[in-house]
Amino acid sequence: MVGRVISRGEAYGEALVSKQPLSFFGGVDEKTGIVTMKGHELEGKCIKDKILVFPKGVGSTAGSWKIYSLSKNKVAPKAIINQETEPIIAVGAILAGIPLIDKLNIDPLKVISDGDLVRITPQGKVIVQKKE
Amino acid sequence: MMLTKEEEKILDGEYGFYMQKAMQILVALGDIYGAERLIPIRRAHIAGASYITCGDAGLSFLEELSKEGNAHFNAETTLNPVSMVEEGEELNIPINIVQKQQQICDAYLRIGAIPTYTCIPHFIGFAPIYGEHVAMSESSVVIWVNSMIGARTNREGGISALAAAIIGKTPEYGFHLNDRRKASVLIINNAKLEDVSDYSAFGYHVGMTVIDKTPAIMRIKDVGISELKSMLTAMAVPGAVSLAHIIGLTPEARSVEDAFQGEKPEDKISVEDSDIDKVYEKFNVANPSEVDCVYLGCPHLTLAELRKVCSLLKGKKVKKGVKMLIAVPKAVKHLAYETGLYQELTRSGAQVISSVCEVTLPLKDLGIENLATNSAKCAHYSQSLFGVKPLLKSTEECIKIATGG
Repeated sequence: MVGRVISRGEAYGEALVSKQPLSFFGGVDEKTGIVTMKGHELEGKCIKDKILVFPKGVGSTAGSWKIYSLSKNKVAPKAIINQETEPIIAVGAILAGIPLIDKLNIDPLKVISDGDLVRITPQGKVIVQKKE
Repeated sequence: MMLTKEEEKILDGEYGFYMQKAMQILVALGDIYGAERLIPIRRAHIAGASYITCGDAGLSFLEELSKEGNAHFNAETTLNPVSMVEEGEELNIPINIVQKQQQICDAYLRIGAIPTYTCIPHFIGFAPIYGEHVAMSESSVVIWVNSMIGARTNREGGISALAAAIIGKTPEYGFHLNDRRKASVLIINNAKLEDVSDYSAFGYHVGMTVIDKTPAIMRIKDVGISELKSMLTAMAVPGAVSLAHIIGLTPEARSVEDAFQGEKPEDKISVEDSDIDKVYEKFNVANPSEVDCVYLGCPHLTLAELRKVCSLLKGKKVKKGVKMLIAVPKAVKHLAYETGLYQELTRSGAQVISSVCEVTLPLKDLGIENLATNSAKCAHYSQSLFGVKPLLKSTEECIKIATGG
């Protein structure tokens, strides 16, 4: 698969996937990286070192600071893949230096599952190794 | 996006890491929204400068950014309210918040920010002109300069406004372009609007109705700055309205045809008294007898508005157990002091506070549980951010609650 590079970089890690939009302001604990958004399908899960796959960001634009904060606290995801990103996630990922790719030629929510090993290249290629 | 040679150099890091980050942010936004180029701006306004919003991570980023030679603003850049009042104003904000806030402010000053600390920079001398391209965060600044001045800004976040201020440019998309500025929904007002709180409730209702569409509003008559400012500020709260055409007042909407740029409205919606009542009902949460804070000044008050509050308070005293907070820009507080208004308000037991707002104050730490206000925005955020029980009332009723009659 290949997508649009919003924040350039490479990463390799385990996927954590959600079909629901995510708010980082008031939705993720910045000290632990655990999702706290009530009723969210990732609630209670830790995004640290994951390749985090979700449709897009929602909520306050202050969410960008929270993404930066996660990275300062070393609990940030290794990379983010969005269906179609928006400024909160884009700005946060750039500040934090987290690779961010969106608009893949195949819907990432359909082909990536929790636990798959995902590699991201600086050119925006996404290589998925399905979990055994 | 097409970049100039100079912009490419910044993006490649030739001017350092922080200039590169700022350029990356602008380019990413431009790519997301399909901008073709960056355009110069003369002015920016930065929200989220409060410690409560940007936290320790924001503080450490800004401290690095503001080190000698890393970055400097290339646009006249004003700041939104913060979590720190002027010396002499008693608010008992926890000392660790005040200290961190001071460090954030110091960092912004080193980059060249103007310490306005207000959501109404345009009323204290920092306003764009018609057609000027600017990068404003703070939704109430965005909607005012787009709607009442005819300047052009997108609804920036604090960080994208910061990036634009550093580079002195913003990507050309959205409200910078004629097409996005045309109205899509026609709103016909049939409600009777009197106090600024009615205008605030009206704005809130329209915002809830159109979400992020651009309304054109008919039958808003005999209004001044106070009514329009209350209405537009509230309109930007429940959704993301960035521009509202007030027919006959918005420079781009001398007529309904102007507002829709000759096209037909997608939708026509009328607003009745019952719609306004519903907004009051939504924020009728606190019991008047339990109100421990009466908050006026969301958005910040002008000197004329402060004078009006003072005349309503004449001969009355704020009762025990109630804090009456009146939020203004520092600049207005100084004028109020010179004219004696400040002293008069203080004598009646009200507190004139500057440089803060209900979003940047740790309300619960101040012991505030039940808050009466004439602003739907204040009611909305005090409830959603801090769990305070709100009560939306007219200015006169707010003063009655504060003084016990």
